[in-house]
Amino acid sequence: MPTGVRKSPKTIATINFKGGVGKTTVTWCLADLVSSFSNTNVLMFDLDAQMSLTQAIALNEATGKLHDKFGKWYGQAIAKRKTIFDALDQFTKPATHFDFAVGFDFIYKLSENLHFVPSVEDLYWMELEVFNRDGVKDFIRRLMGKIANSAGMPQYDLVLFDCPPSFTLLSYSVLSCCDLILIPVNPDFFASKGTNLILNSLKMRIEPFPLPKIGVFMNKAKTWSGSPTKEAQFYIREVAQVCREASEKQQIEAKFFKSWIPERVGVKRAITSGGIPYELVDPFKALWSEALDYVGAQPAALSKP
Amino acid sequence: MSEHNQQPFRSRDEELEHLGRQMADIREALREIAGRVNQIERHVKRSFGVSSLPGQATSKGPRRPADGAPEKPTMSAEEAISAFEGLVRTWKEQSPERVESRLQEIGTPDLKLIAHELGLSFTSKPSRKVLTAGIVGRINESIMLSRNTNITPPRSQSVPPESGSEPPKDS
Repeated sequence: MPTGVRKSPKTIATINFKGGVGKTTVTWCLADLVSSFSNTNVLMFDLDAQMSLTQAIALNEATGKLHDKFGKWYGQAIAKRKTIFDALDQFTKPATHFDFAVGFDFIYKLSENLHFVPSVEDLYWMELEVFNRDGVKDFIRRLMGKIANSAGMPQYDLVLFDCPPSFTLLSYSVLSCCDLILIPVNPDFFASKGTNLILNSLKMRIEPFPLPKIGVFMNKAKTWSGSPTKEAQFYIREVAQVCREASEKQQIEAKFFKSWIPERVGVKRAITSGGIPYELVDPFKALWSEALDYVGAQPAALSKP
Repeated sequence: MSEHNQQPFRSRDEELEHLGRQMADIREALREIAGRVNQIERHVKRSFGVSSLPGQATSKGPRRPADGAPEKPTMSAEEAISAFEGLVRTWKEQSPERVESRLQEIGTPDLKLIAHELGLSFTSKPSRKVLTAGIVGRINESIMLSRNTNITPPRSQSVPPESGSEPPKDS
């Protein structure tokens, strides 16, 4: 590992208030793509109490049980109070120093350069336990600092957050400090409608923090002869227009990406079965390249076999 | 006197059953008639070598204009999308009625092209009314996608009341 001054990792939060648009699979596919095709060190957080990403990673499709290695590690993390909820619990305790020690009992190694912080069911009830919004806003920022400065932990180049389909305290904390808010939308009215809501209300919720750049893209686009169907194209034009109008009206940086991800039946199984589907590699590479260009980062060469 | 009065039914189910039988009989009769028409058409075609008798409208194939040329749209796909965007602007800036009248001025082939470019699909050959309704539906979607109805600032950012309008303090 290189020594010297550590540079901050690029942080990307995947969010949409609409459920089912593909936040989890997009987070996973990007993490899998970047870690598999480059030497980038990737850390991935599941912040959704529904634990879709955690369960998808943990579940052995053949047996229906948790993968032995992950299951054992996860049980120990819960027993030793080393989960994301425990970190938040420690952070929000009044008048105590945030001394949550970060190690591989908190972060799980999925592969050599793809690491994972799973979700826990306790996050469901977090909103009832923690009332102080401002008490949580710095949590992710401070936690990232802990991870960056903990001995024995790698220098992460990229951190991805799979956010819940609502504006929770954790979402607030992530969106207050990330470099890019990535919003997948689907080519239908209800999934597209959420974009307008986020773009036009997020700024006032995040203030006084500066609103990060927002990247919106079409996910699960039905295709015909390799292109989006006419219906998908209609929603692509409409959501792009919503982005343009919101950027102007709200004085925010919201860009609609040209890259789009085609619909693929059974893409969720890509998580449990190990890798990004072959036919989605190029679309995700294009999306990744566009996202990096947007946040002004040097694109990692995605060429590692 | 209606059949209902001639045959009073003891229950709603009994009447429904009766109507169902009648519909089945009519369907069977229509099938027989259609079969007989097909039989005659085949006979005319085979024995006389013509596909239809003089004065008989053929029931198959798309209807064509009098000169025999297929109806073609007068605009390109890009122009169809621009036309739709113009309709959305008209709806926002003028009135829905203006859009309705504009749609009535557009020829059916152009309406079909606009509907096609908007990804509208129909189970059968759509009428002008259906095409127009579909396009108006997309206009409404477009407007609703960019409209906010009740976004209010968070309480923490709400503007404090002016000093002159403060409620009187308890004495």
